[in-house]
Amino acid sequence: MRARLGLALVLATLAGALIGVQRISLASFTITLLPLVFAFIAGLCLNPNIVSPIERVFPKAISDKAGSALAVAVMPLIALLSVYIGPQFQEVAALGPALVLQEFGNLGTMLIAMPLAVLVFRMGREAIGATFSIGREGGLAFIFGKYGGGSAEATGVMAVYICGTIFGVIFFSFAPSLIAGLNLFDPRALAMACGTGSASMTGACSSTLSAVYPERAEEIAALAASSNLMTGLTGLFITIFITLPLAERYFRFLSGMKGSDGAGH
Amino acid sequence: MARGINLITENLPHVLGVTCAALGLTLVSHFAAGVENLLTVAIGLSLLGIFVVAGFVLTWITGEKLPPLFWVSMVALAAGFPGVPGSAWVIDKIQAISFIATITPVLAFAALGIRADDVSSFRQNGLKIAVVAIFVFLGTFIGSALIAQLAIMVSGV
Repeated sequence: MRARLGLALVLATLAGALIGVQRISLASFTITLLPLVFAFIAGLCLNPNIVSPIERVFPKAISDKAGSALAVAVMPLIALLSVYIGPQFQEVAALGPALVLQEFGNLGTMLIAMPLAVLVFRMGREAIGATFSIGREGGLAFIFGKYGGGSAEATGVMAVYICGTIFGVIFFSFAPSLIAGLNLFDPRALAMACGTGSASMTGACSSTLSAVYPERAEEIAALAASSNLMTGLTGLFITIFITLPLAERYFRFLSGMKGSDGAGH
Repeated sequence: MARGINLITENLPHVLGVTCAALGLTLVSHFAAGVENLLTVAIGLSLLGIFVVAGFVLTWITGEKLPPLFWVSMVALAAGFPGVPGSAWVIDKIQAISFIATITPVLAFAALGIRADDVSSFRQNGLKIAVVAIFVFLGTFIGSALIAQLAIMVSGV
């Protein structure tokens, strides 16, 4: 079993590394496709739960092993990013206020996603669980603890958790490249925004940014790692004291709009 | 806990095994990408492996009040901090490592780690929740980037 998983991992990694960095230009827009995107696609093709004929070579049990290994497998990358905080410390310290303030940017999650969930998709309290945070392990544990495993809120957070498992990391390798292409943001602001609290999303996001701005790679690594550390430390407090009370009120407000909407027209 | 969720506590054999596998794959990915100084890369990767394992050990001995992510980050930060003995040597070796070659095998783990349960819940939840999830991911990224951008502009650094 271990050998089969190892083989699948080597094949997917090789596919990614050999295809390498590809740049696609559409008009003035350049999308940078990194080896990680190709490794992901190759991995999907080798995953027996997605491409069933491959089960003859790679049994479904390899997915369970790979899935439970991911949380550890991403740690060398986190260590790599964090090593650069020291050499870049003056830069990071100078951006201290920005680093602290951007933690509140996580409220943007709820501000834009909850109206969509409640008003467009007519979701109930599932919307609170789905949109109060990025919905990784921390958020999941928190919602399960507060509302219980069978609650609507738990159903919502689970659904986003699954989406994060399936396309979260790949999303965070496309989005920074596209948004950097708009030339609206300082690369340092984008680097800080990469620190989401999820190790694999932070890793994908900052690696992609470092490919877009290769001359600033070490600064990007240091800022993303600092922001990620900050999210890890403050995330729970912001959730308990700010995000969740706000989510409850915002949900009532939006449900009210939905109600009058339905009655009036 | 609900199906498909993994909030289990790690143990030393698992951490050691997965870390070695991930580092081995990372070396393969450097080699396939045509990186030349593979010996320095290998030394750098071994250092990362030490930081990871040390981070997990610290997580366990401090009673798991803070996640491994925090401790691994702190160990790596300390090892590369100017003034810490050996930090210049550590940085020198680490600089041989490519970010892109390091994340590549992580995505191999992510893609191969999608379980049958994940696929069926994903199908069951439908497109709506996938669209909501995209807005959730985009919201946190854009929200943080906007505030950071404003703070940079106001402070003028």
